[in-house]
Amino acid sequence: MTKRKSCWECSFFVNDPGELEQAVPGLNILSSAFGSVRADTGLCSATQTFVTPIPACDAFKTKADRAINN
Amino acid sequence: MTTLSSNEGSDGLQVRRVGWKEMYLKEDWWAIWIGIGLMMLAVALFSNGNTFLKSLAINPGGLKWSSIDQLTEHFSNNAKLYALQFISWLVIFGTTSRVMGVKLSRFVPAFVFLYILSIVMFSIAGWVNAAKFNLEAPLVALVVGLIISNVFKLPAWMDSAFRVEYFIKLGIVLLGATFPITLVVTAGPVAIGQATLISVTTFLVIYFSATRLFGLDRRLGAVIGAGGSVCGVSASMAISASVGAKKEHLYTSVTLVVGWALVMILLLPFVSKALGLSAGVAGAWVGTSEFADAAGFAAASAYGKMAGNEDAAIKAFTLMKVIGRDLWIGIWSVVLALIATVVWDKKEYGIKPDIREIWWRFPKFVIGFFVASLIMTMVTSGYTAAEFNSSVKPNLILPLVSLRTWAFIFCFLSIGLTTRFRELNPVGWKAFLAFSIGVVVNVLLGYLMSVHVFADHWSSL
Repeated sequence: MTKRKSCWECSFFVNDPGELEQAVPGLNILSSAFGSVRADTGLCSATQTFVTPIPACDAFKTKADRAINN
Repeated sequence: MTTLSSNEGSDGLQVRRVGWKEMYLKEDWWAIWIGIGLMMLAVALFSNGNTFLKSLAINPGGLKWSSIDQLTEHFSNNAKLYALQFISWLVIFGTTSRVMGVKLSRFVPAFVFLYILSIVMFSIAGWVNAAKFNLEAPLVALVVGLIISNVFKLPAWMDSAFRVEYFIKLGIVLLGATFPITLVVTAGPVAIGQATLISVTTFLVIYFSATRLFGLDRRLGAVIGAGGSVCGVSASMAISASVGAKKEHLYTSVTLVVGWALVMILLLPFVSKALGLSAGVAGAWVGTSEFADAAGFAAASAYGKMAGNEDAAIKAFTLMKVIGRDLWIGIWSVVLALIATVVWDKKEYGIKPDIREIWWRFPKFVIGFFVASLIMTMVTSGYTAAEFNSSVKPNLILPLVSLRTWAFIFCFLSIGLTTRFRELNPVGWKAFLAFSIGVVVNVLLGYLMSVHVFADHWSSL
């Protein structure tokens, strides 16, 4: 069965805690991307919004797709 | 704006991945494992008459030294203990940070720096005249950290070891070990009621100021509203996902929360002192006036030391902020997602509310706090008051207090060391005013309730 595509497989989805803290300057001062409160929330760099991962939207692109297009 | 797919995943619209892996990937859980682990080790050693942990928890904060010779003699006599302590902290935080994805090549040198600086902070606090000059360790640590990070420009990679939230969460779990569960049960409901009233009022003030008064985006209104009324940037981040906030909305919240939190850390202790507030009353006031646990503990701890009763101040703060506010972030998240999809426009903001967010966003370290409180209450319940004071307190409780103080000092230094003003995003005047109106209402309402309405309750802690 093919795995359903979602934000997790998308190259635009930033979920790594270290990368999130770099993407939002000051996030680590009085908060943390390593905390439970964040749950699965990440940054969609295609729409520049914060999302909890959902099934793939129209902007979905894998890293391989973007590499080919670049 | 990109159209979201209408396909449904197996969990409704949300696709979970981390789930229970958070038990080793999130710092909340590591705060629980380490905090409870240290507590159980302390109990086991105490039960066997072993004072090793008491020795390992050494710090110069209580020295009351009046000459440098005294200080150097203390370090010289206890060099091996400090070395062992440093290695213990390094292994504990280094290993767990590595598991969470932090590079050791960055963590280790930064932690060495943090530890040495912490020794300096403790030494200042241990000066016989420190209290006379209001050189309270939390405030000194914050100011020194701010000076270093903004004047001397430390490399950003050092943030790997300046883990504000990790340290404060561990500190709170260890605090649970000295927090009777009976106090949680008797004082908790007042704290929850008071904190909820103030949180909801403040959120609405900020939200409607932002949207109705200043015409700002309602997502921004919700994000800064949560930041100013629930639990700072963490709440803003949670609500950002619920309402589909833009990156710049969170940037705005970060700058506003950090700015005002720093002002409050410095202002609240001295205003409380000027007003002659009791430690418990001030702690409760700080609990609803501050935005983040770390900042609030700094303020409450500082004033508690000024008032000669740090214990009452941080207990009141914990009840108000951790139990009264932090616990409910998941509910705020679900409610705002509901509002965004039902009251606003589902197509534009639509992330389906998921009741399970209440658990997944629950600040798990609070579980550690409750467990520590429960276990220690049971362990110490069989002792008489005389036995408690002569044996339990010096050999079991105080070492845990010292370990907690280490975690707090690491935290307060880290706040200063990570606050690089030049990197914070500028904020528009409308957002600033909307947030500030909320801050004023928040502080005044908190003052009214803590200092007047429930004064007797908080004074009795």
